[in-house]
Amino acid sequence: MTTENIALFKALGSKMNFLNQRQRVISQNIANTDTPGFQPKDLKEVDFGNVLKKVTNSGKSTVRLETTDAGHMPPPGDVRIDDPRKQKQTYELAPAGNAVIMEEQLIKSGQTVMDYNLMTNLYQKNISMIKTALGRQN
Amino acid sequence: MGSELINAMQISASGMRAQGTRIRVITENVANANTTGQTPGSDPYRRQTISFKNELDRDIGVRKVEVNKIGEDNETEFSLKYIPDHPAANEEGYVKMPNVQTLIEMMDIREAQRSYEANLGMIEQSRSMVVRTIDLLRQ
Repeated sequence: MTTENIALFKALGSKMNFLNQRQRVISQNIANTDTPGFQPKDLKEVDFGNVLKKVTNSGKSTVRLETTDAGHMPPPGDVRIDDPRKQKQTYELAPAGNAVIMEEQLIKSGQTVMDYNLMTNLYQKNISMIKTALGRQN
Repeated sequence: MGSELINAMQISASGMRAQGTRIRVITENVANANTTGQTPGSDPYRRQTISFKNELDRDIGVRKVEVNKIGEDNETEFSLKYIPDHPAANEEGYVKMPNVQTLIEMMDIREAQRSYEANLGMIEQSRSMVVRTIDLLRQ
């Protein structure tokens, strides 16, 4: 048994995966702050509360399809992270056609890091809870 | 999972490399702000320009920033300065001076610096995320 089988850990893992990808997209935006004609991108928000609910409800169905390729459709209750999309609304456009606002991107990245820290903290707390249940002093 | 963050760091690094090249080009412009020609009536130093492009790195499958082209500024005119005893002076005693405006170059260098720092900050943040992940192992 791995922690992957526990619904909460699974949800935490997918949220962390999402945050990793978001960080990559934001890095890309910031690296391109001076590229002519570059439009910033962002990931579509995933409703993880909903995901968690689905995961916990479907606790009985233990047999599920494995996704081994990026082209595979995820089984119901799994998280699908869409490809980054161009931001439709931007604050301003530079004369060279660049629409990256540094401040906006930095706030987003700060948010991502904070969320990530929250996830790792939750993970640690849950692990120590399991350890307590196992009767180990920590 | 970690590879996304490593990719993020590589993207930021490519941004820093591009801004570094930009700073070099601007420095060349500033250093040559008074470089004139050698023979009478010859052209002085011409201001260099730089532009970036978004390019797919096929090895790791991410879109990085690269220097598109280092070109020359043919739009701005050379200014004329009256120095009759200069080797590059024409018949009337005027010398063509480079089309470099240090004020504009200084502004550009500030912008490059700001972008460089932003990329550096992103590397720092991605790194802290990696560290947090590794910290999960150690309790």
